[in-house]
Amino acid sequence: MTSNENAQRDSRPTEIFNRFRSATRGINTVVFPTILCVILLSLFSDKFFTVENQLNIVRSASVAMIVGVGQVFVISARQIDLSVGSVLGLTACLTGFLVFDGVPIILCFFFALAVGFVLGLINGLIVGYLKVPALLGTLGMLVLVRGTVQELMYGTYHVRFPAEFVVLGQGDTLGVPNLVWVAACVVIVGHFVLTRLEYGRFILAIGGNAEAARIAGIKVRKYIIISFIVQAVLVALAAFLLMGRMNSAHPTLGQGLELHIIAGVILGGTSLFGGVGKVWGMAIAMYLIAVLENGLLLAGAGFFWQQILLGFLLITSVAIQIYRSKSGKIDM
Amino acid sequence: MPQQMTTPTLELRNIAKHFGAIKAVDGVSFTVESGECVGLIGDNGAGKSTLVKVVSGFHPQTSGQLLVQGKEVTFSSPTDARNSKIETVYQNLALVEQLDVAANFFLGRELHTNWGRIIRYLDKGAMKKRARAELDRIGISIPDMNAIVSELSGGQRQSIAISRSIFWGSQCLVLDEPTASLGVNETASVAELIERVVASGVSVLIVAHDIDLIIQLCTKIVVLRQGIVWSELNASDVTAADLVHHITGTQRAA
Repeated sequence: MTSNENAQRDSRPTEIFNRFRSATRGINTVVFPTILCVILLSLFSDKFFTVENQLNIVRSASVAMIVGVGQVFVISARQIDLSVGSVLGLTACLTGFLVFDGVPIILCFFFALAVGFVLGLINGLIVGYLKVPALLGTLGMLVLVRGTVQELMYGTYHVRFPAEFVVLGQGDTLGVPNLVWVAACVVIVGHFVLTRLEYGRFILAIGGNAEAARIAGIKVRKYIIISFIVQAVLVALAAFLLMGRMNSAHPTLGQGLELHIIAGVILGGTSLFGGVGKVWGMAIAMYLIAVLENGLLLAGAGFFWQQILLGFLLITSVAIQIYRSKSGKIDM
Repeated sequence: MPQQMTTPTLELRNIAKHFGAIKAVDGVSFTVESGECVGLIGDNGAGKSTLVKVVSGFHPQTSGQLLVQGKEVTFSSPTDARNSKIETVYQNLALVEQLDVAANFFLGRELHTNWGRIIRYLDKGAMKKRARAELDRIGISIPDMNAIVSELSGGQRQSIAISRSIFWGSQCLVLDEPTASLGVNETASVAELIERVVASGVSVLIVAHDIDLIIQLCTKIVVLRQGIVWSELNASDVTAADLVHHITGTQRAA
């Protein structure tokens, strides 16, 4: 017993060190470049570090953060969801019809979530039951759902929603944009679910070693389907808020969003090979991407430069992960 | 040995498993007595892995009976086998390398607090404490319960997988190649762990290529060849050289 007690006493400081290490694990890749960018941009532009500009940056990142939480779950489970942009577009356009029909906003809200639920369920069934690899299954859904919304709108779009709807996406509460409040809640809850609830543990186990999870009695298919549903419902929530923020709903809404989301998720430390999910890292990465876009804007570079940046970030973040996995540090 | 007096922990009666025209296992019978360590050996393709998969609930057998503590059981999933207190430790599939030691210890059986019907809050502290206590009890030194499994040695991983099965009250432990991919020292420490497990009264069925390990640990050795029991031997009566003859089919003792 004494040797045991000694061992426990000796492991105290290492315990704290290990806690610190496991808490910071995965985030370190993105925290330092973020701090560097913020410092550099503060030096170059005195507009950058103002409260107003920072709130603007976080607001522009908030939709990506909301959708990103779902993608962290999906990628942690060793899946991927490419259909997020199309689901965003279809949910917004369908909900737009209800808003203009004078349906109470709260019902429109639940309708949007229901659309997300159904589309997520379809994604989940394609992957879980038809056994189509997620990369191709959700790529099919990306095209299929985008086609559906284009056909539905047929060159038209929704614009100028009622004021009480618009305020949800454009308004502030206590000086902070509503969108930021929602994104903060989703990120906090997402982090909690992934690290503290049984569901999160199962998702990580499935992503890390699906066979071991199955042997351990975890219903692998069920939890994969749930993660696709969670992803699509969060996309629907984002769509609902974005409609108000833009005060419109185009059938092209969300086009190319998937790259932005996946780049942020991988950059944030979630493993492309499953088993490691980082919600906080993702949120910081989304902020970093928004900062860089903002910096480009302040420097006078336009939208196409943002695309170049995003493609570059996606490739770099994946390359870094592949490199680290080769050196046996896949989870760090 | 008073084998007839007690009920065997595990009994296979004429177990067969066919995949279409292929008879992977074709009528295998043997018993694993309570607290006995049985070795299952055979050349590649002799039917060892298929037999393990039948016993651990992966494939239901085509015909024959499986008895646990004298009661006939039918397994349609690995969970069924586990509920009958048969735990299988697989060579590579047992642990999730990205999760920590305690998480793996409680994989699929997490301690949790229910918040309403669907929200299950993990009791991480309690899981760490109990995993630590159990590993200490069995005498396995893992310095840090927060360590990610991929950072541990092969021997430590195998020890965690074995002690996890013991912890969950297994009466019959099936070990699939427990020392493949382990170094000499690690093999020795895992062998020692298996000896302690057997001494504590758990029945063990080991499938392994390492003949010396089988002779060292087991009391009975079952040699499979072409899907049938080619020989059933007392470990104290045979040498490693004899066993090679049995495996290759140049000697037989049925």
